[in-house]
Amino acid sequence: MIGFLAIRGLFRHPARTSLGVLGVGVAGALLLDMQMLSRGLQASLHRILDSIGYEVRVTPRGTLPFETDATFPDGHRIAAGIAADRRVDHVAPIVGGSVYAARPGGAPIAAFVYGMDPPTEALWRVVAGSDLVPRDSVHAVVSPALAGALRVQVGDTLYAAGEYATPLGMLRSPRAYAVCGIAEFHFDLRGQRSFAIGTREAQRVRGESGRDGLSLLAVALHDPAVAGDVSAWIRATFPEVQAYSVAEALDAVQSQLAYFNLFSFVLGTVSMVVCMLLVGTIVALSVGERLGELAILRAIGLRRRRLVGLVFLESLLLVLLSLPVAFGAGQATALWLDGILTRAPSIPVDMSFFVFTRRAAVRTLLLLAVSGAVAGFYPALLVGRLRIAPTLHREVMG
Amino acid sequence: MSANPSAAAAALVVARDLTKDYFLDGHAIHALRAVTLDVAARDFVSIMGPSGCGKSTLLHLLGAVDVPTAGELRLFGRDARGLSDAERTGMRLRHLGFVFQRFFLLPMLTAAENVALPLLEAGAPRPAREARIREVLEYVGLGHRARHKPGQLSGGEQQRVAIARALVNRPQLLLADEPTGELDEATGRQIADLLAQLHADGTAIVLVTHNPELAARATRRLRMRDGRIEGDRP
Repeated sequence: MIGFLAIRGLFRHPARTSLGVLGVGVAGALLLDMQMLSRGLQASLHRILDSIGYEVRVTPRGTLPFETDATFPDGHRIAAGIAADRRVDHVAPIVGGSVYAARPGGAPIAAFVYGMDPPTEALWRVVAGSDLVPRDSVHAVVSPALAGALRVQVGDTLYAAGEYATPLGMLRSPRAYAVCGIAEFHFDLRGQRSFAIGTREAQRVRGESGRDGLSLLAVALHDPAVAGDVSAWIRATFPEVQAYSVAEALDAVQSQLAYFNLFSFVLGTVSMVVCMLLVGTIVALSVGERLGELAILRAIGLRRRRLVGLVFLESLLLVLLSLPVAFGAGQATALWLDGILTRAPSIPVDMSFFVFTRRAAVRTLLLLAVSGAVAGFYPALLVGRLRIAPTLHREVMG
Repeated sequence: MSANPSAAAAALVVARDLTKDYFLDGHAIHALRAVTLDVAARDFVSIMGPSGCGKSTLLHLLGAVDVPTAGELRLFGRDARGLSDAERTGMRLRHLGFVFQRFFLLPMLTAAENVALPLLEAGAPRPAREARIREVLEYVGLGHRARHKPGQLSGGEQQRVAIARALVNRPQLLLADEPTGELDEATGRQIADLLAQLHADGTAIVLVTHNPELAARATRRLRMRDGRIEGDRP
């Protein structure tokens, strides 16, 4: 019965209810955005890591993947040791770091090299031409930014070296590669000039061949469920490296993004308070106007708790009706803000700040429901304390 | 002060030395002073008196929406002063019907939905509920107006809906506070006829009114002044 009364009651003043719903919807949209932001980068990274398909990542001790140019020595020995474990399907040794690149006769420019063996599309996606082949020592795929900067295209030659002799304006001990493809690199910053070659070749360019230095080992498992066990085993067996399952890597990243959490917590709390005040004000006003009616309902035998429930339900219904606005406007605002933020420098191209996840949606729903329930507390208190006889007397006299 | 001892045995209401005081800005206002009254199962009692004499206060006490400051009040055989809020609410739902001067219908509900409220609260199953709503609206002559909202009804029709709402749970006692106060003379007469019919069909009625013509329909007529009953005559 109270559901029926609450719906009819809310639509008694359609304009006021509609404005209230819009207001709560806008506050809800901000709340949703803050939920999407609080774990957005983490969720975005999770999505990318999942799409790449390796369950464990091994890095130099004390670093996250590609956080620095640091490498760990004896990389292929460690890779072979890990690959020997029966839980491991295969291991991809990867080198990454800053180098110089030039076209024939052109001035060298700073670039980032990825060396990956076997050369799968784990770190990049070829958009023109072809990919590297196994144990490739003659080809390179380049990012659109590098191709543009060097004015090279598929079939051209690319020179790369770890050092640049400034007085001569020349690369020191350059190595030549034929550009076989243009690729987008998942972890590149916007406009980053990158290219990919085989692991051994990248070690040669970086001067890491002697110590067999690697930046990262990407470890694929037969059963993803044992990623945590395998990463722990790697840390224990090879103390010179750090190993992360996807979940552990995300936790490590999240701890570095605490300011996003704080930001979203503060703005999310503000939006919740706005939502509570808005719903509370609308319902309290409505109750104030209907005290006579509520007294009549009590007089004809409706229980006190029934009317208290009615007021709470009206608060929750206001929130419920605002959900399409909250989720629609929240998504639209998130897309707009994400477009602005991801254009900033130092942001990997495939990353997003605002990611719609089930967690964000459920948290938004719960927080809005809590806001509605708390907002209904004061009006419910008014109804709970309603004295029938004086209220009826006032209504008749009024 | 007045009682009707002959009806005491079958009394729905037994009030003895009923007092009700209000406090306003630290001063006591004596709304009722030692009122004694019995209402029997087939009584039709009218209460007249000047404004502020305590008529509505007495009606509120008889209707279990307020409690006396002092005195004895038994409603349907139970000591009203010892009842919890929930028990008084249940008593109002099952044994009492209220009709007010201003109708107090919920404007967003149809006539049938307004009448349905006490039945819904009592947990009546849907088929029985719908049948009873039809029956009671037919009884007050508004069977054809069931789907209309109060704003689409005349004052007299709204009061009929309010009476139907009061009757829907088959109360033993109907309490009416100035039921014709907002109606024109002709419409008021129709409501008076309806109340007389209700009484003839077996419902006890206590009626507060300023309208002598309506009061004359009652089988007992009380006069109140300064919180006291001054006269009780058939």
